[in-house]
Amino acid sequence: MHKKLGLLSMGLITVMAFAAACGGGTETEVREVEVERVVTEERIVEVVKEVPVEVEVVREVTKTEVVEVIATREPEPTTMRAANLGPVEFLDSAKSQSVNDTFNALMHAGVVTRDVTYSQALPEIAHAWDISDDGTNFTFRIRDDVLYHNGNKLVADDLVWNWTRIRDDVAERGRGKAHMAVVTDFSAPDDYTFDVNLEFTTPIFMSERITNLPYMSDPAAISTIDTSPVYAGPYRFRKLIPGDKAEYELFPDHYDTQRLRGKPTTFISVPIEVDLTRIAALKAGEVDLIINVDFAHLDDIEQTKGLQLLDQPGGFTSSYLQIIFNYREGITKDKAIREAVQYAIDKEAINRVVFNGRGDVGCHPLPTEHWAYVETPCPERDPERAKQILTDAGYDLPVTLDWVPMFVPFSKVLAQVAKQSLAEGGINAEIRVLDTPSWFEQIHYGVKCGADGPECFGGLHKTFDAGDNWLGRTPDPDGMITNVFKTNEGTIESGFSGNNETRFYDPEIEKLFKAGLSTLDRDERIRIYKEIVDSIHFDEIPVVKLQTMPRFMGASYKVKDLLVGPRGGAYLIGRWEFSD
Amino acid sequence: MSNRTLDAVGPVEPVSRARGLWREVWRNYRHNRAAMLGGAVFLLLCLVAVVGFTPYDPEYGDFDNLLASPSLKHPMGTDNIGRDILSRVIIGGRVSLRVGVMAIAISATAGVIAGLVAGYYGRWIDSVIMRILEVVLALPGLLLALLLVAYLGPSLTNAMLAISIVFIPPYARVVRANTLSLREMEYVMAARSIGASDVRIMFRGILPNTLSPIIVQVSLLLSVAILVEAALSFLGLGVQPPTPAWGSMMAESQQFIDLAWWMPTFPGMAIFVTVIALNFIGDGLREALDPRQRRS
Amino acid sequence: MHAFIARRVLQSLYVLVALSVVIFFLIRFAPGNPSVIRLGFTEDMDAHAARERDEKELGLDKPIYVQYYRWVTHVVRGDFGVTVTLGIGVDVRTLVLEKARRSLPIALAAMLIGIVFSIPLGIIAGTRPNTVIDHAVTAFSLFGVAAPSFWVGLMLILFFAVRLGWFPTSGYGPIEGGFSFHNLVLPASTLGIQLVGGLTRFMRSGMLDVMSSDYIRTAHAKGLKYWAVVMRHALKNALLVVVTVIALTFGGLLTGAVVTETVFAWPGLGQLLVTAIKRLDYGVVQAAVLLAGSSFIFVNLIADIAYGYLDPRIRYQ
Repeated sequence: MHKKLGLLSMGLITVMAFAAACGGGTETEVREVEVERVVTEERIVEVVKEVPVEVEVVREVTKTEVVEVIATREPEPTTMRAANLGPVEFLDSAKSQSVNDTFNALMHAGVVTRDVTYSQALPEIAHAWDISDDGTNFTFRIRDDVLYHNGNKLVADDLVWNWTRIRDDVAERGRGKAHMAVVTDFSAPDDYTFDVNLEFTTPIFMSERITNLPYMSDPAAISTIDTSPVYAGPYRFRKLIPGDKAEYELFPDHYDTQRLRGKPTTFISVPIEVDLTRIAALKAGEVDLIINVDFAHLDDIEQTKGLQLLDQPGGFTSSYLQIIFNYREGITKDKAIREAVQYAIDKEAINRVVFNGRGDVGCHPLPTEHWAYVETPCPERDPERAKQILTDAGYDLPVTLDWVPMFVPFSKVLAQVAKQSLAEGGINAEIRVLDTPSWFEQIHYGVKCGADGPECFGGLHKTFDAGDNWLGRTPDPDGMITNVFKTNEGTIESGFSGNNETRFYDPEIEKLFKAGLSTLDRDERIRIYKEIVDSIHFDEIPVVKLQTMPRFMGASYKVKDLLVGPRGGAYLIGRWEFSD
Repeated sequence: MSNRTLDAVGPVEPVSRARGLWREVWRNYRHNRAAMLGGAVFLLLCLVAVVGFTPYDPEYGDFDNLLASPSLKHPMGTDNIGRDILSRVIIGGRVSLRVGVMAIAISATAGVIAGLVAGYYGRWIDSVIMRILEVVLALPGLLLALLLVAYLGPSLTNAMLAISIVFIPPYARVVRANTLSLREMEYVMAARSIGASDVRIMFRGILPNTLSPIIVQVSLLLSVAILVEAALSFLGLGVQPPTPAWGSMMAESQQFIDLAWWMPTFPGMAIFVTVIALNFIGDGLREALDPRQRRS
Repeated sequence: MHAFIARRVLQSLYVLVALSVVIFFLIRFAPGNPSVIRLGFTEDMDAHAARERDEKELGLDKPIYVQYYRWVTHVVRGDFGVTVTLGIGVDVRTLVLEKARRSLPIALAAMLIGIVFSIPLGIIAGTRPNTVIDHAVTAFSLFGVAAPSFWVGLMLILFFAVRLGWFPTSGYGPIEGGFSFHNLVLPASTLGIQLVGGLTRFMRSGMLDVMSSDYIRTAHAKGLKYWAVVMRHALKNALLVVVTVIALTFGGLLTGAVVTETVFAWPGLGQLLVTAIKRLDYGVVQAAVLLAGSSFIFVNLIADIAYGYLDPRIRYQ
């Protein structure tokens, strides 16, 4: 018996040893800390601060070290810690589509940058620019003191190189190519001039197109762009542990010293997926900033001492929520069904139950503060009328719909509130949850199918009748309204753009999209977008707007003046500060 | 009775005595107070779930009464959609117990057959079956379930299927081990010599004598199945809304743990009570089946 | 004996190969497509062109057996490829080993908690069946089994990290870097509570079996002191069962801590696997499952060889 036991425990030890051997165990971890203490001066100061008062000798020694550190390094080292939803996915920002990469914006510098409402361009690498009278030629004057994080100097040729890469090499794999759609050509006549020509003048070129290309990287360092990128922004990349945290450090040689003032010397983002854990980490003081506070905890954060809710200045948000229909296939091809849903859905209840009443319920896709918003009376909720519409159209009640919620956490709750309110209008919404890959495949892109028929349109089949859709688009009416209904080239044969899940298309409306995008006259644009909204949202109803959604982040009071942009991301370019 | 031919022959003793054995097991079981209590509680839970009388519609949300704390009107409070938690716990029990029972039934059936065949025929058949089961075992359990649910789509049935597959190997192993020793027993040899079919020997001769370990496992795995459902729900792949299940109710309440303690607590208590009841039943059955452990 | 070991090793290799085939096909038949995940939400552009381009680049346009052959031939050379949706171009082998290294402390600590608590509890319950103490231990251990780990984890965070501030809420160390035992306490306890639950049940039943066996009765009959019998004879045999269970659970613990790792934002192997499945990073899923699976197969092999050594009958089956 002794022997047997001994053997088995030996087996166990072998397993542990084996497992330890393949991973290195915890020893390496310790080594990691030690190395860091030796290498970076900030760390020493951090450690010193936590030494208890009683240990006099240690304090003496370290005090001198602190003095040394301050002498050699200008700003007092500070570390700001932020919690993200998931790990950083793409260090090559030209390829990134992910919200998890939001803090990479710290590393970026583009030709121009944007203001906090994303409606105006501000100088960045270009300190000034001239625009031709017809608005199709832009001449940017490039600063001569812009350095990449490796110390190389940025010249106008690099911009040409970067823009070419974004358009031709990265192409559809990133969002950049789409932002360059109106650009016909660009060139660098000399080191500090960058010329851009447009196909036609457009009001959004400066505010929303060019500002969306902020990731100019050093051509000489392109081979390491996926693992160790070199940009020109106020922070440089320090390290990324794949699937884990990302570290950035202040780039002391950044040309804009004003912007560096008060900023943390080190910025670390960690992924904390579970909402409650993220909030707990903020409350416990382990992180200074968390993105996406769930709506149930907004009051909680506001009421917790030492914590603040970061929001959008003036509540201006370009994020909104709507119901989408499968406009081309199945039962929702019938307008009567879509109209019935519009009358039956209880938007107020959805706002109250799912969003803690923080949303702004409405039917116009733009928020009421938007310059292009035109006061439009909403259809009142009327479940009886919904039933009437359905029976008039010859349906037996209840009519059953396949409701596919989006993959975001609140969508399942939303679906249940929607189901209950639709039931009152004679509609039975069967909830069918898809995992994220399937949602993208089946709802966003569509599954390839054969001949056109009731279950196939344009070679694509989308397997849903209705569902919710949360959008965070650019705030220009073109971004907020038309993007969602576009085809690729303005014809139905060219296929539908990524965001047009409903596959709505109308050649007349398509002309209006084009017109709205090619005039600088705001009054004219207001008129055009009113016509578009009247025709789509109040007549054809491929979507039903539910509400405008404000976005929040939580932070400790160490973070000052950090604002949230209209799309929900932190406005990291701003003059925010951090004090430890 | 179909087993008359076997009954007529002496050597199949353990089978023909089965009914008498069960009577004795029941007599022993009855004397175990904890086991009787567990049984009663479990029966009560099943009864409540099957009758399914609820004070409110478990899927109806009172949007003016969100996250209401327990009161006379709602003894377990309401959830974030304003639904009565008591009603949802009652109907959720129906779903959870069904998931558990079905998952166990499927995995026990498959596992018992695999174990019997492997143990009885031995040689390459045994080898093939055991290697297949080893592959299933080597795949991390919850992740196998995750993949299967991802493949089949998240739903009650698929969660159930996924859980079943994960639980096949434990049954098969137990049954195989017992079959290996039983097939060499005289009564099995004798049955074979008079020409009883393999199927008959396996199910009439061997299976009844391996029941005791199976029953004990059933009671343990039933509770694990309920919990796997909870874990799947936490990862977004369990029972889909608006259907309530105890596990998914707890998963849905994760955001509200600090705001409304009653949301996770009551379904959690239901799981706890069920698991305890099942374990007392399991312990009672084991003692009753194993004469050595009998007290008195 | 050598023939037995050789046969058993060969069988393990079969299983490993079968495992690689199963996981390869299983993940590929999951709905969705990595190229779609990579594209995510797109601005106005031709998504399908991009998709086809990506599929070609990832080799997904080839027949599946060609893809498998390519993967296996690379794996044999130690090349597990690079990530495609969990970041781009990260070496999969490094990534998976790094995560396994993170999972190891939780698994070991949870195991330790499991052993330290379950053995005495099991002895107490097993030597006094059906007493109040036994029922109390049973209730306690079943609480560990019955409480979903995400609930336990979040409760521990809310109480010990937020309310009392004793331990950090999440991560494997201070965010600034490194590993800390402080961070290990809550996640290891969450996983440990579950283990204690299960192991105590096994320990208790092991004790019950042994205590009613003939040789223990004989020992009693010989007039040995009760506790001497328990500690010297019964415990050893009951431990045997528990040690086996522990050995077999360990492989599962590496990846089985999915929920605990998620709740505590502990970037370990389990969490990696779940994200890799959700984002369809085939290479990562395959490598991670292969690692977890082969460690399980290895443990099984060792256990079998040990049994074969102890019980000659098994060798000749």
